[in-house]
Amino acid sequence: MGNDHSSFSRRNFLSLLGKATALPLMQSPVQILIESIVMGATQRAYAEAQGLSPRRLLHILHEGAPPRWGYDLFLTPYATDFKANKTVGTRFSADGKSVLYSTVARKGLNVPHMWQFNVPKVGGGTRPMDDLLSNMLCLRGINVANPAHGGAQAAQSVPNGATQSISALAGDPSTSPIPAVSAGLSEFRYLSKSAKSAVSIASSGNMLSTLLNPFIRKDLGGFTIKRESLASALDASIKALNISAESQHPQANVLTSSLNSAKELLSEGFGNLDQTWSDLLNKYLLLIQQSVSPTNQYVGINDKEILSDGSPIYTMNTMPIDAGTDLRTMITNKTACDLVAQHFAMAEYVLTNNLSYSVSIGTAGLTNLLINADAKFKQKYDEHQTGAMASLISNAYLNVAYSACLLELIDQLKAHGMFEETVIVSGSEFGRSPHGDGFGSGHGYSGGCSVIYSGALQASPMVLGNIYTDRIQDVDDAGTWGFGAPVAELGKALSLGNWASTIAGLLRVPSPNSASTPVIVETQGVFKPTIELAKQIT
Amino acid sequence: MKSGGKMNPVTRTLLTVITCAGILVFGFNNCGFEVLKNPGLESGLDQVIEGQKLYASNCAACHGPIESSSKRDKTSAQINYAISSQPAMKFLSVLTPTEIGMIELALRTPVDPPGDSESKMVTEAEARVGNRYLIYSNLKEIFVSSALDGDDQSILTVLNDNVMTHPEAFGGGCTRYDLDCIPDSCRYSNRDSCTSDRDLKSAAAAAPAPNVMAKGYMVRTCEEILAIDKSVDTALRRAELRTESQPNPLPNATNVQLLMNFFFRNRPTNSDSVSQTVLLANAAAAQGLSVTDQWRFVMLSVCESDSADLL
Repeated sequence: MGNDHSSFSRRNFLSLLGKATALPLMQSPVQILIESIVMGATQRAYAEAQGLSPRRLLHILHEGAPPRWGYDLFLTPYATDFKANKTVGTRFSADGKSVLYSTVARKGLNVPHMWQFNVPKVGGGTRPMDDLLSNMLCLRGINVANPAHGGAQAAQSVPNGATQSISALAGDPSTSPIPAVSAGLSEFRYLSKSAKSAVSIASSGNMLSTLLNPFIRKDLGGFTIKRESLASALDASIKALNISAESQHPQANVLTSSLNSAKELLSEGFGNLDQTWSDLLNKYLLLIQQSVSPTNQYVGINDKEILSDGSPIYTMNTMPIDAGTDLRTMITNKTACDLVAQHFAMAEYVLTNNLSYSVSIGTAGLTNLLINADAKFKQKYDEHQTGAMASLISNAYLNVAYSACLLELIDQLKAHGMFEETVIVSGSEFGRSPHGDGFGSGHGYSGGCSVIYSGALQASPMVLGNIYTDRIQDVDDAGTWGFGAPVAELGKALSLGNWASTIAGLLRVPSPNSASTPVIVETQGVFKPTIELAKQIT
Repeated sequence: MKSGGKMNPVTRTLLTVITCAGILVFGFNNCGFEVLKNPGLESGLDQVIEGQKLYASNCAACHGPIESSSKRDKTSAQINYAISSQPAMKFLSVLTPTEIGMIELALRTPVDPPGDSESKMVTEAEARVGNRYLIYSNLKEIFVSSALDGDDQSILTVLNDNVMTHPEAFGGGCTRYDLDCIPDSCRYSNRDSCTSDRDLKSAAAAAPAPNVMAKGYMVRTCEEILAIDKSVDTALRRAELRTESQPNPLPNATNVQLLMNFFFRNRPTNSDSVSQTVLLANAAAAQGLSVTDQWRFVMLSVCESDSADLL
């Protein structure tokens, strides 16, 4: 693929050509000349102002809603007001029989225990996980207002009352050939204001081939030679036919723009993508493999035996772990998370090659855990029946792997000069309401959390959104876990409307929920909060 | 939301009504398909319902109920041929071409199993753009001869490889009130019995009609089909442009218009599109290309254009 500039130039040229050929039907030569000059100037100005064009979006959704208080739901970022709950923990206790909520100070925040460790990097060696904090905004205590997975997911695709989906905020205004790409999201929606549509691809096989196969043109010998010799006459004929179709069906203009984008991609001449895909996929697979290696040392997680007593807090996804088992043995050198590797590989290629400005992907938990002699046990995000002890160890490893992949993707965006022009939104349907006995958790729809990474976030890290120190959502989920509390400036807890407006502001596009206030605004090139920094409410 | 169990009828009706309203307002259904509105008739839904009625009164006695008809996906040409060649069907020669067309539309429009109170609502949603079954059957009708010889098989392979096997681009298993989309293996059976894995579902769900992948495949399909000489001949014959009395039709304005009428199922085209397409044929002639080649590229233009998708 060409770079940003050539992509824009080609599109502008095509657009200019389209207008220029349509105009003679209705305008005088002088008008055409004026129109061409004005339009050319506009196009140039737009190209020159690319730095201010809408940003790219990568929306990552942990479908199933894992507990995130051990990773990126910062419960005590600026203070230490905390009331314990037996399920909420970031490390094991000294006796290895319970979990504790423990933080370390990093870059002005109290962050969960795992953030003090290094994560693997491409090419060998490690890097600090807290590199992620350099360009990070966390919104917590979001009242998702929908207790069901599907509904809450859909609401984060198209927030209630929104005029556009989150994916379309970046996809609609972009000139990239594919408005939006999604993978692994069962409730993904593309609600467009400009009649565009997304493509969703399956998370199996070579995802790049799946996406780009339509644009790999066969050499048809004499046919191809003749077609090329007739290219301009063919284009004129198709253009006239499409204008005719649009006069009957105004919506046919969507087909026309899709055809133009398809032809742009067809002209790119994508070759065999097997090697490209294999290199990208293997890069992320290796990062994950290194992240979940049983030989990694994480003090407080795997530096001593964690022996199951067979009680519910040692249950993994409904399976009670046999008494006497050391929980550390669940992680083997086969433990993996291929879906994350696949989706990150696809996202990196699509974003860095300007194929699309809007990518939405799902993630999933670890696979190939060794549980009671089953070496292919899968972690389940929806931890209704996973106890605090089993949850902590699997999620600790998973979060190292996820951070390593995220940092690598950010490196790639930086290498392409794109990180300041990209907004990465990472979240789940809702938080989790932790059961007070340490066994399992419910749907914490009163306390959602979204973490946003972007080079545009200079004043980082920042955590916004208040939570209650001790508030019960359902029955037995007391303590500090993320239940949204009113923010002074809003008079209520954060909503998905605030979240959507914040993302829109970062993307430099109008909010789809214009009645909701963004929680940060750009002032002289720096995003600053419009609300108080995060605090606990008693 | 997606329990896989049977949806409460009230909820389902409500969803259907909401979705219907969405279609009326936005012209798109929840699966991203554009709703077809065939010009000259009230709506796609009216045609399908009328077609269902005609089928019920004229065809069902022999061919079974429409949802499980042995004649699903048959074209007007095939129905007409049957009426003219099957003595038992002679009585149907009173049907007009419009009525035959509506029966054809009903036959390629999936319907719910019997007893579903919403079957009428579903039929409207199925009249849409981008469904791989519709595109496959349409292009097959245009380009594949009844001889089904080696070239015809090659064309079918192109259609299979580029259209039929790509639900992620063209859809094909999507019902509108079931906010999921169902895999095509469940298309004519009771959807409640279908439980597929998420990847399969998302592949089937990924069916927004006017999308760039579908257009890419359409361009490839048109090119790969028209690179086979037989396709040009078959299309000319099917459009009744190549006949015994006119074995070598030229791509003049009249003939190009007739070809477009055939391709676009009589969807109106303006004169500029015809003249630009004739100019294309002239450009091919000026380069010394044969009449077959001139038609080949006229057909390529027509095949790639928007109206080819607006079935």
